[in-house]
Amino acid sequence: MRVLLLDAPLRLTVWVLAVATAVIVVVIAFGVARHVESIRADRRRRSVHGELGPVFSRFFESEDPARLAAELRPAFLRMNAAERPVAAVLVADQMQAAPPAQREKLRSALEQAGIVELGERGTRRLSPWRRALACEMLGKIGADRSVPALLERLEDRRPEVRVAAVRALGHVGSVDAVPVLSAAFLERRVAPTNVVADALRRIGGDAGPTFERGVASADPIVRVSSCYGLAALASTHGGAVYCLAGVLASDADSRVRAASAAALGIAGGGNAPAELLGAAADPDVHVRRSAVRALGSFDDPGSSDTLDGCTEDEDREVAIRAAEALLALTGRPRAAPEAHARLESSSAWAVEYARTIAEVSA
Amino acid sequence: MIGVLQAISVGILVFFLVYCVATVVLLAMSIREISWYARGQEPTRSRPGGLAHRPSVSLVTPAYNEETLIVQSARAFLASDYAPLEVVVVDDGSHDETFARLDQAFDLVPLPLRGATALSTAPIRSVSISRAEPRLRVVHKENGGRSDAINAGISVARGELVVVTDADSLLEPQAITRAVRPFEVHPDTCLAVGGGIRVANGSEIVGGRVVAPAVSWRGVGATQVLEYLRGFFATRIAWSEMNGLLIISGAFGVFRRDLLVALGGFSRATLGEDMELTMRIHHLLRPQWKDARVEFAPDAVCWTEAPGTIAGLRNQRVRWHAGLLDNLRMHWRMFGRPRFGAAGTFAMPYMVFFEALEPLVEVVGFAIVITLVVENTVNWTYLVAFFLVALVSGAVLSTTALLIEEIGFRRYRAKDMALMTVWGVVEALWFRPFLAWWRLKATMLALAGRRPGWGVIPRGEGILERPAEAMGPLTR
Repeated sequence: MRVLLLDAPLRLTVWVLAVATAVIVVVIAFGVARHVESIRADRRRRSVHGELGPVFSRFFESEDPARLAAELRPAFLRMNAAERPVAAVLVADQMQAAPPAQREKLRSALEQAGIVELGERGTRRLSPWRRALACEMLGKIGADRSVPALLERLEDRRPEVRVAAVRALGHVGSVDAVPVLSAAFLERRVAPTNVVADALRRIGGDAGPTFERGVASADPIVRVSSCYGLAALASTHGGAVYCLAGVLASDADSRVRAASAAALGIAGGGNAPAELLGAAADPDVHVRRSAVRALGSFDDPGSSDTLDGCTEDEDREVAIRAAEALLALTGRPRAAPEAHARLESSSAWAVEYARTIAEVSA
Repeated sequence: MIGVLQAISVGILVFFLVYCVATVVLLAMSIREISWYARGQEPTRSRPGGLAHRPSVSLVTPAYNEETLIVQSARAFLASDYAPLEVVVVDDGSHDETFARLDQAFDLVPLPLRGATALSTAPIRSVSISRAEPRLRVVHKENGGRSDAINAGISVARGELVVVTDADSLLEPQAITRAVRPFEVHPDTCLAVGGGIRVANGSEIVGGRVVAPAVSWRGVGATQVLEYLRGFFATRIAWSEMNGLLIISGAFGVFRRDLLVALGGFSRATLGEDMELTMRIHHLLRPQWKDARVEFAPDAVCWTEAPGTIAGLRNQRVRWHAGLLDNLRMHWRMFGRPRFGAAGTFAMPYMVFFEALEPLVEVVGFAIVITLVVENTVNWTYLVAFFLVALVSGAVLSTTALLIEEIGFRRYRAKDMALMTVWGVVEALWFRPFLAWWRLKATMLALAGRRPGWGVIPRGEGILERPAEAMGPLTR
């Protein structure tokens, strides 16, 4: 018997063997090449840092943008295609590490040296990771003139590049980007919603109307993100707390109500909105949890009664958060006397729990 | 008889070829993904994340008779660079000095915790907070097993996200930060993230940290290092990309706490509770929530000590395979069904054919070969070619995994990579037959309704029909 003597499978087997062997050879060769390349990249990094490091050090000592520009431009132009990304990272790191006072001078020097222009050209490179890197560098530099190039990248076919461009626009902080980013946020396209929301938050008060529109969106994810966006802008955007209180009172989705309550807690303030006090009795446990924690951020003597009642909530987390919020109120000028009184008279286990944690943490 | 054997041998060859094609596709996807990742790491080293508000995290670690390392482990977990973080150590009714050592080292103060626990567990004796390190909580409970201990920790935890890890696992300081990134970027759709597990055998460990990754010279250790690289970095990256990841390792996983509570926590009805939970997430949530994602964070690294002996390895693999079969049985309804996304259409069939049935096929193949050799009826040319294919295709997988490691991570020295390459070539001659045999043993035990050392499989348990909608928004 020649049971396994099957010509067709044997020929196939030989082919598989040949292909697999070829793949192994290619993979090993590629692996070795990568290893060698990584060693060269390390050398390249050291070389670029060795060349540009002293240039930046001299700038931080002298704070002379013209000199930095004069030294940087030829150094950048001398570099080859492999060295420029390393230099771009170095520039981005220097911008991030620079103290705020020096950052503006550094930005001016980089613009004079043509680095921003090089970065703008980099956003149109063939390699997607180089486009993303260029966006990142432009974002860290933060020059307004790079906004058009970054906006162009919001339509990039690679999601990573689009994310880098959105984040860069947030870092630049130019209001020119608000209309496009707003549309991207409200329609949930270009980049993950939270990344776009973060960029809008960084831009600041001009993004407030976007979040106000967002809380009325049909999409609950946009509504939730808008609540947090409004919270972040509450100090500069007057209507934020009013808008969040409205959402808390009216939104049918408990996740959105929970987000608006949490957002009110981030915003904080004097008197707690009545909607927030009412949310402490919401049928949804997540809303109650967010609401009682948020009440601790308002210097409102009227909150103590609500919080005291919540220390007996059937949900353990609500009870603990209510007790913690009461303790937080003891540090606020107007709310402290009432909060102290409530804590003294309380026999709730949650109050004892929160006190123990506060004592240990102190 | 000859016809039957011919048909079986052709069937085995076809099975093997389909496996090769499927694996090559997964590898290609992983390489594509890791190439971008590597570019993102070097030279820019920047990734999306670091948004306005970070979700709070509770690290839950069960400990049973861990007196020798529990204090060091707790310190290492607390040294994570993530904030806000709390560490919840659950002493699962240890018979040794686990709780006393923690009390001595961290000056524990009892907390007056009342009210219903979020998950039902064995009775909790006490919950304490450390005066020396207020981010540490210690739960002292009666013994109930690993899942029960984790569930107790989840009940006590207060973070929005829960990191589940083992007391003897070594988390890198940036591991939690990296594992939480997908939640920061996709707070509304990301449900769970698995970290990359690496084998610490042979590496230099100081103060609960791997300071110099290396590979053991011994075959058992070195082959497992390679096997983990294959399992985690060569295929899970691709499964994650497809949103079909069916397992988040119990050694390091991050979950939304409200999701865990809504799903009833970790199951006590399976040996593979980590895989079961991941499958349950897909099973219960994907049909209603198309955007829901289970992700893999390859750069969030947890080091673990793998079995150093054949006996230890055998016990572990029999247990793992029994768990796999349990979980496939519990979640068989996902098989091939598009409503569960890639998890149902691709990952489940892959698991069934190439993980659950593969040992049967392999052992049947070995049996046919041995029979034919004994009967002197084998075609030696064919046989040698077939074994070479098995050897070489295994080597393709191993070398590609090493390439992914080289492109994306570069944790090991060149000599360690060379050592793993050698062990990767020869593993088909000894490691895979062992694995096939142990898996077959687990299969036989499961078919007989028995678990290895765990009694009879409780039928009908596993899936808890709790509403998955009971989740709040993550802080952002």
